[in-house]
Amino acid sequence: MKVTADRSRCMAAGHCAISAPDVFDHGEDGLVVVLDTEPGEERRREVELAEDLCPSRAIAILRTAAVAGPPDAGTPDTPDTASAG
Amino acid sequence: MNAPTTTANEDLFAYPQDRACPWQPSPGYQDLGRQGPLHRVRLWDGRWIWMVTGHSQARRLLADPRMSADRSRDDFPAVLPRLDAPIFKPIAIIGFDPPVHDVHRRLLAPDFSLKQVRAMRPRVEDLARRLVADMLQAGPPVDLVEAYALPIPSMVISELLGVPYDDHEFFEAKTVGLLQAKSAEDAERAGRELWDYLDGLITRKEREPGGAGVLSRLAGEVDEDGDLTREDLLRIALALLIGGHDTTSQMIALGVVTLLEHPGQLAALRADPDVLPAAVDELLRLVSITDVSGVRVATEDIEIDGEVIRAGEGVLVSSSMTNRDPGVFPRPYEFDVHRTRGGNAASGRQHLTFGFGIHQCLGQNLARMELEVAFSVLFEGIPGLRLGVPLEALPSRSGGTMQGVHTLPVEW
Ligand code: HEM
Ligand code: SF4
Repeated sequence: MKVTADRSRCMAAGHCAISAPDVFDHGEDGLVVVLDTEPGEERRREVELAEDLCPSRAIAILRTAAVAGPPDAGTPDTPDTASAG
Repeated sequence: MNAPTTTANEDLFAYPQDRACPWQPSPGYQDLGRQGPLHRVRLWDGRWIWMVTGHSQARRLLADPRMSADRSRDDFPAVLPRLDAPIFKPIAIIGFDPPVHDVHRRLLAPDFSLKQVRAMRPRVEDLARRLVADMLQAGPPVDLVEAYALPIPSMVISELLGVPYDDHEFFEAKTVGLLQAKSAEDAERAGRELWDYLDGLITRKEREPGGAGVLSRLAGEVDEDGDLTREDLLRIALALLIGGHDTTSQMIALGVVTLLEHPGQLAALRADPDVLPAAVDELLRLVSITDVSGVRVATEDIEIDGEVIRAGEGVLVSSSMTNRDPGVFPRPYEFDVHRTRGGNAASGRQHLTFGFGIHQCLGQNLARMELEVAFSVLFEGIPGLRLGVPLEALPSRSGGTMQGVHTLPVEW
């Protein structure tokens, strides 16, 4: 799976680094840093937890890496993001 | 707001209502929660707002950029009389929308990051052990709020900000005065005293640059034409000082009460220290110390679950009820430290005690660390701890936002 984190949305809540410590960390500025942009499937549960908990919708799992489309093509399909703008 | 004082509103559910049990929402909120996710409730001034008790609706609304947190707007609801005080209107970070919100929040992000919090932990452990030793020496009965629950977050936030802890009695009393005020006038008076105090403190930091703490660092970054004016800094100092100790201290106090009243859960926690992070999040969920995850006003019409929240209407998200949405938390009224068994350290974080969206609590990692330390050091140091008065006799705060107890007599 492919993982992205939008630093311009990150509010440094830190859930991602707790949920999936091998995939996410934080920089000196407190904001998210992706350590592994293509984690293995065995990390899926952790990464989905990070995506779900991220309060500012900064984390996205690109479901199908093969379908390269507009930036929002891979936006997660959780209902919370629908209105998060 | 679109809802003027009318007699029609008199039939609506009256907000707020007092808790009957320190860790459970008022029986009235529980009834409301059973009726659906969105409700119209009547406020003290006769106006009405939406009260959200459904978890997914709450997350959607709190993450929606059409919801404003700007307390200076005329249509922003004052959910309690004290919130009508001018001092609350432009409260830093929490009461601003982007872009100002994001700029100020990012200024502070490094100081509240996980790494920073982990680095502070050993000092907080030393502090907690010292306080336990003092209690043991003084002997029972002890007021746990004064002797333990308040000094931990209070010392931590003063050290982090660079506010002299010697002034703690003053800033603690004024914070409680501000947060528990029954009228806007009382809140304003307490708030102004804190403001003047911080003004003096920041002036000293400007004269002697290079001191320790966030406020000294930020004092060096003030730029009247830039992102941080001196008034911004004062507002940030006020928000952090207020936000940093009352919430956490009352969470320690009610957390201890909840654990003592659930001996099986306390034993489970003692038997397996690895449960501690999950137990802290379960306590945060259950106790929902602020009772509210956030208040907002809609800036456009927003359709949600068949209802329309009109532009100008206020919304209050109930943390105590969204944290009991049975679709997310099975057996929602039960305290279960093993609720997320099989998950990792973050699986217990679905609750909305720290809010959601861009305003989700800046101090949450700090608060979690303080709570972990406070519970583990206390029950290790005083294994025979018990309440000094019957549960019903605890002097509890009234309904509204900040829940808690005025004092917590304990023995051992
Ligand atoms: C158990 C302890 C705590 C609880 C339950 C709590 C709860 C909350 C909640 C519900 C919000 C969101 C309000 C909204 O969306 O309108 C919030 C925001 C905030 N909290 Fe906490 N808090 C706690 C501890 C702390 C601590 C220790 C600090 C440190 C100074 C702090 C500072 C803040 C700040 C600055 C915000 C505004 C964040 C923003 O608007 O981006 N809180 N808190
Ligand atoms: S969970 Fe979201 S907001 Fe929090 S640090 Fe990670 S990316 Fe940033």
